[in-house]
Amino acid sequence: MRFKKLKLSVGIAMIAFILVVGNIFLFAGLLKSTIQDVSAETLTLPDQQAVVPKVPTVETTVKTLIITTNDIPAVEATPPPIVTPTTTPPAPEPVVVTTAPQPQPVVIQTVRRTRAS
Amino acid sequence: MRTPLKITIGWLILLFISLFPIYLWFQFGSGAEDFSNYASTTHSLGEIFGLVGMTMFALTFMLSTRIRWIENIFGGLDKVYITHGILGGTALIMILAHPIFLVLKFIPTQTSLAATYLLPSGYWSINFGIIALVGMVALIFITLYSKIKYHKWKFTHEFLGLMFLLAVFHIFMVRNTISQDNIFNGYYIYAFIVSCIGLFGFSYSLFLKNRLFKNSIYSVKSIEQAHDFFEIIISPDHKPLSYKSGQFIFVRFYNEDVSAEAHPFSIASKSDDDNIRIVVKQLGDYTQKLAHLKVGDKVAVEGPYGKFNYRKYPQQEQIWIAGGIGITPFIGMAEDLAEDKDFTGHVTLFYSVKNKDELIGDDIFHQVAQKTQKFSYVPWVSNNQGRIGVKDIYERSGRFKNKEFFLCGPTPLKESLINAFVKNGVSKKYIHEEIFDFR
Repeated sequence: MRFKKLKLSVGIAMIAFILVVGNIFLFAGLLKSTIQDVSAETLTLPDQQAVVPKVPTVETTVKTLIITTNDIPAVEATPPPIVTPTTTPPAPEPVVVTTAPQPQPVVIQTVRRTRAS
Repeated sequence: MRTPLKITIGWLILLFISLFPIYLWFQFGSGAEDFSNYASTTHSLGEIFGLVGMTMFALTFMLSTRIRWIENIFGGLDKVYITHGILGGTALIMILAHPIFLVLKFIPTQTSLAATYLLPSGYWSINFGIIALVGMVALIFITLYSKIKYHKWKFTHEFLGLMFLLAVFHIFMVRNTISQDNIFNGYYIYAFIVSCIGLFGFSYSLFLKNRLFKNSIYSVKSIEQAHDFFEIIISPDHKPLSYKSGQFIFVRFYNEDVSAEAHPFSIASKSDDDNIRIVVKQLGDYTQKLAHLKVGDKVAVEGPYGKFNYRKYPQQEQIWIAGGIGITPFIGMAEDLAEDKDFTGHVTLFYSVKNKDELIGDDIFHQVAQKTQKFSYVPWVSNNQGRIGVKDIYERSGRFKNKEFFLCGPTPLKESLINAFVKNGVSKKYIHEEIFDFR
């Protein structure tokens, strides 16, 4: 009797906690099973060729940075990996790697990939 | 100083300490910037609930120490225990909100991640928190809702100290592993202080107090049974305890048939009497076993505690209201009043019982009423006269203005009367209640 309001408040908090946590687990479980169902459907399609995966277009650009200081030791620039799009658009131009003459200046090449929607 | 004011001071101190981490969070953390979007807002609230809940959890242990200055700022140990219960329940609510808000940030997009966040994993910092939370929920559920025997209840309640220890591991380890943000600068100092408060309070109550302070040893002098209650008189083996009528003591009987747990009992004898009278109603398993007590059994007495006494208002008219076994503190107070030359006011005692044979100390009250004009006695048998109400009290004691009200008895009776007094214009600062069902 003494802790009537307290018992009520704590009881409500406990029930609310159980409901929230229970719902999180429920939705997480549903989400997981939905993903599994969708992937299973995709795998059982009769004609795999009919499914054209949606792959984003990749544009590749080359950025050249020339450092003219003599204090930096020479670094051998390694060519960046060539990203070959798997979609129908024409393959990108091959990346031309330019290595600066030793020892100076040092040329570092970086590749920035941007995703075109 | 009136009791309600002392309660306010105690509560203000508790609120200040409990909410202080919010100040630290805003002042020494990223503050308002962390409320800029949904994810950061829910995460921030999760942290704040955790910090406040943990601070409250630590303070509950301090409130169970029975340290004298804590009792003084709350106006009596009974009020301290009530506060302990309310604070513990509030701490649990805060701590329950802590993980909920932390995972809410994942809900719109990453429900699976939110679910895994709530489950045990390879991170022991999180696992300690989960175990502490589940344990705290289970133990507080037993505390509030179970009807188990007192000694079993007390045994389970002590495991909250272990849950606090696990929570301490959680708060120290979590910042380095899961929580990537800083929480606030000086977080470890705060965590250390909170941990020290809680662990000191717990270990003091359970281990240190009985080693540091010796209880007074008494012996059972006489034991009488009447109707459904015992009157037990104990006498000191050495130096008697100094106490005021209306206070209560924790008593541990050394008898093989009686549990050795310390139980609180009101003192039913006049102030500083060498012998202490306690009156016990057979309400449960423990009190029924007191029938096995024998004259000469040793008794350890701890106390006295409580601030329930009429002497704080020596000039005022007073109304004392007792229900059932709640009469016990008034027996000693009435005996004191009969010899009190400093008291110039008047007391009317209303004593409500169901049947006439349940009246305890009836002859003492009649004697005091004959001895002094300052005391009137109104026994009330509810089976014959109906439940006592404010109207009955008003008709026999006159207007309520400037009177002090002292109540002790079953909570429903007290609550209904206090509410009725307040409705009739009595300020709560004039109402003083003794709480004895503070389990």
